[in-house]
Amino acid sequence: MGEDLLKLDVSFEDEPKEDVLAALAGAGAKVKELNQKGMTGVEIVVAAVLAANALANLLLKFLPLWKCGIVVDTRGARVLTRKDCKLPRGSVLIVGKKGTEVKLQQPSEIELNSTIQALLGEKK
Amino acid sequence: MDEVQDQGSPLELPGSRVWTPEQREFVQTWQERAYRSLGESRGWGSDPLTAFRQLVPSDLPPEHFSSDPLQRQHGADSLSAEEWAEFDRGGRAIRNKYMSRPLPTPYEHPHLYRVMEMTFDAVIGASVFQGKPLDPLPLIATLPRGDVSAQILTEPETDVPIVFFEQGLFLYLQHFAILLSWALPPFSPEQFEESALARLPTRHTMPPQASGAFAGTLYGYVVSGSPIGERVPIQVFPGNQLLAAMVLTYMERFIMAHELSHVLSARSDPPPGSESDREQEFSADEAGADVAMDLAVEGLGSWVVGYWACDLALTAIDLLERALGLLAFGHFHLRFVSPTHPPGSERRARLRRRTASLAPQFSPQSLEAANHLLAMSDALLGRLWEFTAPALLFARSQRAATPSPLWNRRIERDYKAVPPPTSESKTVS
Repeated sequence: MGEDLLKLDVSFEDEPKEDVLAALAGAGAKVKELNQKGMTGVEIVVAAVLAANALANLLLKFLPLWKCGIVVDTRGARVLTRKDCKLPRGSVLIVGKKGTEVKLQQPSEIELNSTIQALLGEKK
Repeated sequence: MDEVQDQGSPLELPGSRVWTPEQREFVQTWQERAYRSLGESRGWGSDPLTAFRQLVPSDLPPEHFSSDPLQRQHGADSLSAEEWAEFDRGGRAIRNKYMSRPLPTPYEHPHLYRVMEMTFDAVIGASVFQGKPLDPLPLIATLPRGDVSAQILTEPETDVPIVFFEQGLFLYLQHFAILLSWALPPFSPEQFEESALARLPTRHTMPPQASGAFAGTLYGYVVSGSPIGERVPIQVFPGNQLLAAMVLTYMERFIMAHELSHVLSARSDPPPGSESDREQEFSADEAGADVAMDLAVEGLGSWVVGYWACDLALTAIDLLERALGLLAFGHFHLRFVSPTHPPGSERRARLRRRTASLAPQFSPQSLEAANHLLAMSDALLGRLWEFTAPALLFARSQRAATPSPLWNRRIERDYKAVPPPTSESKTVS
């Protein structure tokens, strides 16, 4: 699992983009910005490729920065990491390949990493 | 639609678009997320395919492109045999060109995707786009997230821009065109000529259903979000089908051209939120209007209806923005503070000023016709808003109606309440 690469989309609404890009760079991700230039608004999504075992470290960097909780949805070909203000700050909801949901509050890196690896390993 | 496309090889669509596996995977991922979310919100579980099958109809049958239903509805003698044959030849050509193409992902909406393809092909064929190569050629896709918008995302591995049209945008424009068919006087084919357009009455007695349907439609979009997969509650006003079809076609072309102009200028665009971001929107609106007007000259012999449709599309955006603000805050004292987009009303005003500045290029007759159409729709839509605003306020105060959570982000980002005006100032509603 350690060598596996994840395709990741990060959606962060009004959080500072620089912080997101710095966290991704710190996690060793290859990054590309996808500006959603639209008819009525712009949302910024960052696409990244990073090692699966670096995701926990990345989330730990986002947790204190973002004003709300984080959802990590591993279903589909690309993992979606997004800010979710229905969740309290400091919490992470991880949705596994089969849809299993695990919610963690202020997790440690070990706790987060083992949960992610278990849910990424779920057979669809 | 049951078969899932093999993701392993490039998919060449007759025409010019080739989808690589990376692009198909990228678009499919976004579509899966949207259908999954929709399915969960409607109680169908989290399988995106289940939601897709519940909401999306199968491809159009070949009979859809035949004149038979029209002949039954309007009478075979309403056109000559030769004209009906011409109609059928056109239908067959469209069917052969667009309906035989495979869809790029298993989550693509067959009807709306075909409409997008036709719109895309018309827009890039407009003379405004000639000599401005779109390289790489953007791909197109639909999304069912419920928003009323269109946006461009660049596929990260191939750098090809994908123009996503929200299904909610198609629906909203369609509903708006239907409501216009009720609110505006009936247009016959002859009345699309410039000389006749300038003689249309500016005062028109709307059927009572028009105002109720208008208020109900705006209320529905704001409170429940776009009615993805639901039946259109109101049909086109009998006798005004041509108006609804024309206005809808040119509104869609305007928006497609707006998006493609962003693709064209993408290399020189500053990042989102910068000073000139709003200027880019004005420029994209102007480019979109140029295309719609150009295509209207080609199709109708005059730019006027193409331009009017652009104005109406921005009016439709303005009305939705107003309704969202009113239901969210319960009053008119709002400022539109989007960091990237001016409000629809400002975009429309800017487009009008720009067209006025180009007046010497146009014939007096066409200018008169354009001004006449704008005055007519301003008067009628203004009247409809006067009816709708109190209805929205009533729903908010008496029924605790609030905007759908779908709009939370937009409301938070784009609106700011301001102090009520003093006796020396006035708030525009």
